[in-house]
Amino acid sequence: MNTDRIAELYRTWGPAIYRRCLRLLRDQEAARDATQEVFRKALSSPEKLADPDAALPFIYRVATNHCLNERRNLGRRGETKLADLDIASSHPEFPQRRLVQRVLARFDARTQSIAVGVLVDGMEHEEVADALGISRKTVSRRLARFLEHARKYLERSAA
Amino acid sequence: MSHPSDLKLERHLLDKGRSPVAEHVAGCDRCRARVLEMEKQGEDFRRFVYPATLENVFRRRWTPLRSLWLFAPAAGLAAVLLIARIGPTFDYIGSKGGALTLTAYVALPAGAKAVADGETVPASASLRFRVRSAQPCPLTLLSVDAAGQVSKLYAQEVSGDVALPGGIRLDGRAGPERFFAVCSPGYDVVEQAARRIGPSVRQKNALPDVRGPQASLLIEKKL
Repeated sequence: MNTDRIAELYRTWGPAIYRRCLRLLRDQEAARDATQEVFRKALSSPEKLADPDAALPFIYRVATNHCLNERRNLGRRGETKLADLDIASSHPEFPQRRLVQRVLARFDARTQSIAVGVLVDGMEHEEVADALGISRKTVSRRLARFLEHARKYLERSAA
Repeated sequence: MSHPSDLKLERHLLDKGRSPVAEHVAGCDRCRARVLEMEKQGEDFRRFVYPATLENVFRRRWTPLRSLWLFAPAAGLAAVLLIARIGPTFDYIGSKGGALTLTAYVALPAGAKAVADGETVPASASLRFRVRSAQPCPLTLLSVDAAGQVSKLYAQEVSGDVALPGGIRLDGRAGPERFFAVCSPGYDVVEQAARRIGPSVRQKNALPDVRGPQASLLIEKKL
């Protein structure tokens, strides 16, 4: 792919990547760095970027994985403290207003993506399943496990 | 009340005419506000993130160009680095010897080349920058084009002779563009001064009412 085509794709999809990274990292500099990394990763599947229907879920998936990974790494290294994520849609089993990093970090990458999709992005289970390329059943099962473990962890922390 | 997710709003932004959530957005204050916020973030990407990161996006895929950049200093171009240097502004209060030097390199098929003030470069060329400051400098590097559009390229602390990380790719539009490097805390003040330059980028080579050393470089983008 020539550089003009890459630049065109970056102009087209960069804003969506940047917005996703801002949403998850809540820091402009971190989002700027993450945006170029996510786009580089996305360029490994140029056919998906060229298909308008496939591109957005693909970008969402790559950006979500990258940014949640970045949050984990920053937390481990004790570098920049990233802001916790606001809950977009309240859940009866998760009444908190924020999804704090120390809770999120206790789960594997896929479960984190599911929890963020449902709780932070306010997506329906089916939409999360489509975006992450997994079954709706997996979303429900992993979310239930997340909610249960997160509740227990928070109760223990509060005690 | 259930609101569309960001992913649905992204689809909405791509094609509002065919958006299945257009009706909801039109009648929902919260979603309208979110769409406006997303549009602003998209504009920030276009103005600030895109020009500052595009070169990095190419770099790992474009090894020959990266090699050219790496070899340029070794080729003795350092002797002609100084391509734009202006004196302090009337309200300059920096310490003695604290002048700032800005150098830009353009990537050409024949290799990387330092750009002289007012020189013509391809409208889609890639540029890299080098600054030299005798004192620790809260650097802002931005550009103003013929339409008065201001793009933030770098904001970081520098000291000594520093090659700025990454590079930029020009926007592909013909016309003048001037780069301003300023050692001054507070990006907002610098940006406001740059906005006052407006379309007079060929004539105005210093940002007004900005304290601290500054340097500028004019290029002429040609299709």
